[in-house]
Amino acid sequence: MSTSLIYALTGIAIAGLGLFHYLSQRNILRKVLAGNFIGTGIFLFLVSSADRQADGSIDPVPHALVLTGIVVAVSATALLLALLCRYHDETGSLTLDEEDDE
Amino acid sequence: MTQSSILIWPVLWPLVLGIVVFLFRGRTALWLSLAAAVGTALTSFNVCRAVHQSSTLVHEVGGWGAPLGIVLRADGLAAVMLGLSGLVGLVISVYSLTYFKSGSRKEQLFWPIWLLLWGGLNGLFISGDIFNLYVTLELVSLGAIPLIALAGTRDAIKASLRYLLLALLGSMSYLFGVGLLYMRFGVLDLMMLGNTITPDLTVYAAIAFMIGGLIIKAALFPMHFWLPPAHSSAPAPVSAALSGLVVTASFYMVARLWFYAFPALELAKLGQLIGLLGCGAILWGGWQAIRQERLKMLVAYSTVSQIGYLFLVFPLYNKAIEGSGIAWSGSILFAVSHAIAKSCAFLAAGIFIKVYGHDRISELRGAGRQLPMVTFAFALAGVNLMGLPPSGGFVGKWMLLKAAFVTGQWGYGVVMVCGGLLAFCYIFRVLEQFMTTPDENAPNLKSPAVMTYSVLVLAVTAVSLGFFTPVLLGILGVDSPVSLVSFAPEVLLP
Amino acid sequence: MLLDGLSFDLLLSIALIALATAALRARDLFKSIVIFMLFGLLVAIAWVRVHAPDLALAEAAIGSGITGALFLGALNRIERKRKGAASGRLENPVNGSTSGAWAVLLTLVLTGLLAMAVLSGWSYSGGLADEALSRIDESGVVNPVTAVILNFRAYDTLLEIGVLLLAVLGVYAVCEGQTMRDLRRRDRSKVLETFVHLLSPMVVLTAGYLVWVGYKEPGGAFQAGALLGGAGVVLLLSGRELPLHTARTVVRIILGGGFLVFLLAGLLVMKDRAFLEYPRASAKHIILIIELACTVSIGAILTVLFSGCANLLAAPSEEEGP
Repeated sequence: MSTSLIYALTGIAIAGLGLFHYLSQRNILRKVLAGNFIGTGIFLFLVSSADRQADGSIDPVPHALVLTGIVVAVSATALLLALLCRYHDETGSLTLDEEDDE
Repeated sequence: MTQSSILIWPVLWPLVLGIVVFLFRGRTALWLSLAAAVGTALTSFNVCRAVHQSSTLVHEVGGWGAPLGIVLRADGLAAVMLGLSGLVGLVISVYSLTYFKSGSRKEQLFWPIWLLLWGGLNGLFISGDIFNLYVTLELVSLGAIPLIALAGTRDAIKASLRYLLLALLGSMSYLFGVGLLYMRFGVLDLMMLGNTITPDLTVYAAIAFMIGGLIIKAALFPMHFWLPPAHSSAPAPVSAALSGLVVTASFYMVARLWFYAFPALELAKLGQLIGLLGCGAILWGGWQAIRQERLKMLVAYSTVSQIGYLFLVFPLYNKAIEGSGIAWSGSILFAVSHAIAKSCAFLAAGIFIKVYGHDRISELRGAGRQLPMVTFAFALAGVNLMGLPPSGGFVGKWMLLKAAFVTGQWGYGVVMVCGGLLAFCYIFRVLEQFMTTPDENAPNLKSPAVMTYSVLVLAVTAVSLGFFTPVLLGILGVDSPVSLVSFAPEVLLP
Repeated sequence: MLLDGLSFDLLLSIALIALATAALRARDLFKSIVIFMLFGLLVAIAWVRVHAPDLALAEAAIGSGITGALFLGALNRIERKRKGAASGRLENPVNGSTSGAWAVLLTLVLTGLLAMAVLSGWSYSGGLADEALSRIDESGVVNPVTAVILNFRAYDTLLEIGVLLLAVLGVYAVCEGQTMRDLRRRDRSKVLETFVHLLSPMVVLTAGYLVWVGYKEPGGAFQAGALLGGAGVVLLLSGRELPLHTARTVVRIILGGGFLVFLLAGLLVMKDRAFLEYPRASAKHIILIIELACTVSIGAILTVLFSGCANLLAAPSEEEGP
């Protein structure tokens, strides 16, 4: 059990936690927060997979992928929050009623 | 395969001009936008022509080939998709020039966002790298959302919020799959992946996550519920782009992965599962469309239904059975003609809303008398959706039915026929309202010229697409992953 | 008692999971967000442990810092709107959870599948490490991550800046006609203002250094841009009015400049070459120019994203102050 495998599995666990709350929480702000946990979990897994070489060298490609992922995540979060605030301004609600996702 | 630089222009032209349009204002911006639209369409058609004449075009970005760099690849499938996006994108752009209120903030923001989205779409179609596909998919999704929200209504905000929440789930699922594949094989290039992939738990998990995520984005039943509110509350040109191009792009990604990255795997059972979902989409979407009160909701549910047909390629194509390759051509042709017809239908609905102020079907009586050309265009689009000859929808559906016959999967054939009947019901319902005599004191309304003509162009193309089948199949056949029996029209006969 | 490496990692992992749980289950949204930011910092430490210092910087600045600011800004705005309602803070019971049975099942199945997939595929270490590291001299930079981001896979980076731009355009589209929160009278703090006065020049210098040093050490445009964005956020919070509306051409040029420079750089080298194929001799300089332009743009974009969420985006007519 190497260092990186521990973090990879931790990442999966965090993503799982995030997924559960993403699906079950009705408050959209909490959904977005949970979504960020899912994202961070994926990134933990990806980055850990860069550190598996026997000679200790690091594969820089997953690092680049995760950097892209972080930027995309902040973009999506900002858009979601702006939409949520506008939605809240119009309706006073923070949930989407009659919600029935998977 | 030739390194070509014309391949990159359908992506770069809208991106560069999109940002330049953002920097300018007023009339200059509109002229630049028109130039952007025309240029993007022309460069896309140019790639189509080049692929048809020679062979797959390749562009190694940065000069680094696979696996280190990103390779862009335009084979037959990508060329067809580029041609589609060029045609539909151009018409939507021309329509939008007169759709928005001149000088309004909505117009100012629409153009840069739309051009970036269009560039992202083209980038998606020619990408040969699974992570690059993720980034272009994000460009498309995060471009579509603000365009929906531009409508500014409460419904639009709510629908775009729901769409974004689900789209995010889909993206992250796809990204997980990419991570798993890279961890296992160390390549991100599609072709290399296709050559090195082996059946493995990691691989099957990756496939489940990638395709699962894309199914959410393609609104395949049962993950379709975000689509009708989103596509119906968006501004009309945006609805056209969404139902026509964005949803098609997600389907394209599944097809690209299935046939290019995973062909070495035995995925028959997954194909059947997807086929079942497709059947659900066809029937449920069609049924719901019949029940809708509003025209745009009806058209949106029609999208849900028609998407189901596309996904039937996965159970219907069986490499062991000769002749089932017709499912591939049928599905792609269906996708192309649906995109054209559906965007036409939404643009027409937009004209109705502009002229009448609403889209309640029961109150659009007699619209045919007052807006004859728009009604005619909508009827032509309906012909395509119902699958009547000589439209592209007929050819596509016929090919899929033949594939069902050839592979002995009659159930799918029955479902497709039922879907056609349902489509007939909902289209007829609308046309019946349009064709009735209007009340005597109904105002004499004028239909906006530019918008009407653009709608007509799309309608005529969709309906006559059947005649262009040999050309389309010729392009599609370049580096096809599937052995198509022949491209002669005889293949259409049972 | 000295902790050996593995125990430290185990402890950190447990802490990460514990913090994630705490953040997701906390009754008070404010607490959730703060724990989330703390979580982000610990993730940054995890990444140092996995030899990813560039990402540690990016995560701390963007993932934890900017994202946390976005959340807090949005929360504040929502709470102010709800001031008429019973409680000031938004608590969990107000908007509870749907029946969790199927969610639990689905999550367990998916997480289990993922864990098994990871474990089964972990030992195949056929990554691109050798390929990338062996060709790094051709890339013009020494830091392998910078080489990948700005040379080997620069096309991805270009598109992701496009994604950032779309987010900004989206925020402008959504925020139309929102009234600006009046920060001037109530929230101005002398301490904060002085702090900002002293800090701003230092932040700009550090950002410039981060871009410069990204050539061979951890650093680069995104990290530097995030720093500038953070400075922008603090400036806004201290009551300083920044011109953020698209009516001003300068704003549009700064926001879109990085993307445009990147595109043009890729196009201008295209004579006889591929898109974004920098000539070996000038690769380093081209990369630096692109990075500088993007740093400024990213900083501005992140600041606008924050102001959009925090409702500080004013229409031009409202910008005259006391």
